[in-house]
Amino acid sequence: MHAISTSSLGIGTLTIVIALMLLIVLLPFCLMTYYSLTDLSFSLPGRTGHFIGLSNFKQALTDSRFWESLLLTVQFAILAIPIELVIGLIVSLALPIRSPCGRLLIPLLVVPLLFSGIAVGLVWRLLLHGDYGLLVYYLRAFGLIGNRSLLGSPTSAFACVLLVDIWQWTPFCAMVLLAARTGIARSLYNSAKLDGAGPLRTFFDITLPGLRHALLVCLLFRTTDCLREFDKIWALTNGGPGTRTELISVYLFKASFEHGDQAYGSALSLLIYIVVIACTNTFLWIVWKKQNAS
Amino acid sequence: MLVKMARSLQWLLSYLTVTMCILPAIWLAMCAFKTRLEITAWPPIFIFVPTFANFSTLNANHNLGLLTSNSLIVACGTTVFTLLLGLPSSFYFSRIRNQIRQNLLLFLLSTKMVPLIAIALPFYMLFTTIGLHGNLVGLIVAQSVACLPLTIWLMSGFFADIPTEIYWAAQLDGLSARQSFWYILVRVAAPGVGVSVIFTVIFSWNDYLVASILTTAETRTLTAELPILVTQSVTQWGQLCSGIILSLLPISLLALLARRYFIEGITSGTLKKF
Amino acid sequence: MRRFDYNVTFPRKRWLGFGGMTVVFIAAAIWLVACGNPSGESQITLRVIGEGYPPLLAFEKVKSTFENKTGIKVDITKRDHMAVVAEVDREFAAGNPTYDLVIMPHRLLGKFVEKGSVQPVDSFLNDPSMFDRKLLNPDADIFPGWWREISWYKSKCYGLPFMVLSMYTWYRKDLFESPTEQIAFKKRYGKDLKPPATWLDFAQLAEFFNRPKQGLYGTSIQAQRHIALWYQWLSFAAGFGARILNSDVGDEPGDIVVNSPAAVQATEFMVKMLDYSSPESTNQNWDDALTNFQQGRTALAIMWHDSAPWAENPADSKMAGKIGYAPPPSTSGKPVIQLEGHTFLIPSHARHPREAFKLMTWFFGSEVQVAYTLQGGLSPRVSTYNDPRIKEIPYMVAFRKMTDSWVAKPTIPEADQIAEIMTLQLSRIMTKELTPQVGLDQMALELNHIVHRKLVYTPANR
Repeated sequence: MHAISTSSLGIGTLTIVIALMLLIVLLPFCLMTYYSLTDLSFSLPGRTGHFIGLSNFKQALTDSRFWESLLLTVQFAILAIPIELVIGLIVSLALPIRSPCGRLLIPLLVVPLLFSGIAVGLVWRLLLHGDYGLLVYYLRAFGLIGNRSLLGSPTSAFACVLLVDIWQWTPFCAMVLLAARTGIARSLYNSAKLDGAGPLRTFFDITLPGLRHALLVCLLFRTTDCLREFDKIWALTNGGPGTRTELISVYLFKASFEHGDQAYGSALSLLIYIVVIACTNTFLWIVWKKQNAS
Repeated sequence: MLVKMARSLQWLLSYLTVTMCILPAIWLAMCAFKTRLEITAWPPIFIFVPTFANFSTLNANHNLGLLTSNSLIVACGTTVFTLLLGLPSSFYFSRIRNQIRQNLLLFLLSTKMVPLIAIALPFYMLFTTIGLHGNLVGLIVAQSVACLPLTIWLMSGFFADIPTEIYWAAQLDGLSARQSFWYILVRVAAPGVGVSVIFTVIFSWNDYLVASILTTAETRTLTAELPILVTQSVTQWGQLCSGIILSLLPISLLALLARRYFIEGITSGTLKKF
Repeated sequence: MRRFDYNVTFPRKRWLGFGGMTVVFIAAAIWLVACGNPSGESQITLRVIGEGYPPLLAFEKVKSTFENKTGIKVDITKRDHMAVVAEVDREFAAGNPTYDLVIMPHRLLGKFVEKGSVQPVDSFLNDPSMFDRKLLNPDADIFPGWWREISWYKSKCYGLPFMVLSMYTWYRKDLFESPTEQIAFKKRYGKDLKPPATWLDFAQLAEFFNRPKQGLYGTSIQAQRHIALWYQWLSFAAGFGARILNSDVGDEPGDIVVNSPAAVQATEFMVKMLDYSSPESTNQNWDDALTNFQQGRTALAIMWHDSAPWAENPADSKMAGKIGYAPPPSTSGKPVIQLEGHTFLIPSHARHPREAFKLMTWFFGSEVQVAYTLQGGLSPRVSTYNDPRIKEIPYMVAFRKMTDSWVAKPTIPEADQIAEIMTLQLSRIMTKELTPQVGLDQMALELNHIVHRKLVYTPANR
């Protein structure tokens, strides 16, 4: 027992992992933090990285475009994640895992996960473009959208981005929940049936609690990813008509690269990072506190 | 009667979901064999004469062989490196006391949350200083660092659930400590390993940001090369579609072969209390 | 299943374990690095980076002559537009460029010069052993004024142009030459059906040919939030006599005139033209505009001539052979185009600057330029356009006629930021979120923050 758990291989590799993390992630992160306190810019002359303290952060606080994009990202997360979870849940309940036909269908759910971010954006641009998109053709044929542009209209561009995200990640949620569902002991269901519980009761008292952890996993994954959503939005709308789909990562990219303002981009990233860390840490802390108590 | 209706609704929903999932991929596959005129036609064309022109143009303008082999090397390398480091450390990880373990886990997860766009320049400078820029090894290391937190999280959940009795049993059977570790790994934790492998391969193959920062012409991966086709004068839709299809093929094959592990592994790995 | 909680302690043995492992790790890393990097090359390789578009592909097709002649290998890295800029920025910021030649849109020149990232080539130009002015005289052999705009910054030369291009009118020759159309147009507007010389002509033609039910739109406007929109605006602005900064040359910042009455007129005209173009316009960039022309859905539009090869290729375009090319309209009737080009630049820390310069000058030879153009390049050299093979290409012939009357765009270091801000506001104007006057006023105020010049036209409180 001692030998296994204290095996030097285990310690050694863990040390290497932590060392790698520190070197490859923490070091650049510290450099980024340093940049956020300077005025470094790629394009503007004379801005070679003098120390300017918290000016970038002050600028961020009064930057309406930053707050708009943050708000937009929050809206995006609030809409996308519950929809993905709910649809994923419904789908996971509906999928016929026991039949052989089902076994053929279920692996096909993996397809959206195989696309890279840019590929998703490009393929959906092909589908949603008003001049040649397959989906647009059928939506117009059924009289649902008339002649308006989907990606080019301020009202529907955000919806399109939402749609693409839901397409990409609902199968993931569905599969996680499906897998969790198979983990719930059959005996629980049998005893519920014996007690005469209807389907709704069974769902709320047995299925949902059993899926709790899976739901938490999905929530965590998706929240951190929403804040870093960039590739597909770039390919779809480039930030959208006006700033309608300018999520926080898109704005970060524009600030850092198109404005060449590396220091300001670093400051924004630091702010975003703090927000993300605060949210997820609080979240996990609560979950683990409950776990450790039980 | 109601049961029958529910059942058919179930099937309808399943078919609908799966159709929505694979529809873009099917349309993409069709477009890979169409000319530009056919891809951008209105109404969309379903019946056409397929052509391999897109693939051959893509191959003529970009060294597909090199790109694919780079992507393969990087994906395999990342997987091997991640497993080499991740498996033993997650084994050890699962044995550490709750408080410390959770703190370490938070640390590992928090490294995944740094927006890469922001640390692109420092990242680049770091790798150039070390000398690993433009080097497949550097890319492998960087991608492994991105995959390790997830692998460790998954696998430690697995290992935590393995009852100690198995260790005792294996040792009673005469296996040494290391041998019993491998026995457990191979027999019990295989699904978890399967899932880690799949996630790592998909991530590594589809990664764009890290690959675009750390590679040069000789070491470019397939995914990092594709955006070239969206240029200042024209978007080469045909070549893009064929390029994306080509890059989807290897990982689709992998997913197909490992589909059982995928589902089994996700159940056991992420969801246990650990 | 029993949990296996374990009180992990850290005796000296464990620390030794950690230390030993770290040493092994570092040693392995150093070994990997040494293995991974190739040993020094005996042969010189010039590394070039640029956007992976047809002119660069054309360059790649003609480079073998240079390699055979000089024994210097040329290695071309192609990336997408943003990645080129990002990669070059990173390289310059880290002070460790791998590239000997960089091909960049000319508006980025100021940024690189002011940062000291690129080196001037004046010394090479004035060195008779490096550069023979009898063989190649850029002042005479490149379109007048274009070299200065594209490759010069503040009286220093940083390279030779790689390609030049602009936007001008494409129109459906088959429709314009059809007798029924000609009669109908004359009846309705009282003038002949021919390419537009003034903006009124343009508007009337767009209105006349706007037949959505038949799948034909009068014109197409690239109104997506994309750099294409900024360029499209610049063409309209040039025709209305408007510009961004009050300066005749790109490297001199001028006062802000982006919200001048002429600019407002140009923008209002653009918005009005949306009525005669596809409702999808706010989602269209240059690629979509090209697609619509290829599919025969547009009657006339102001388009980039570097995409003309695709429009004239029967495999890609239903309209091959049916497109006419004409100078863009203007208020005065005398056409003015926007000057646009990409230039070769040599990084300050390039390893082989002399060889890079040799490659540049070789590329400028008349034969090479013709071969390059025939493969899809866009030659900045005047003599190319006199070659009989090039004279058969209608869009090249048309372009040649327009090169004397042009408007510069800013090449100051703030150019990219200007483009991004303007694109955003223009996008808002195109989706009718803001009126042209308000949008341009906002643009002017934001430019004021960046360029620190005064506004010539102060926005009234509206």
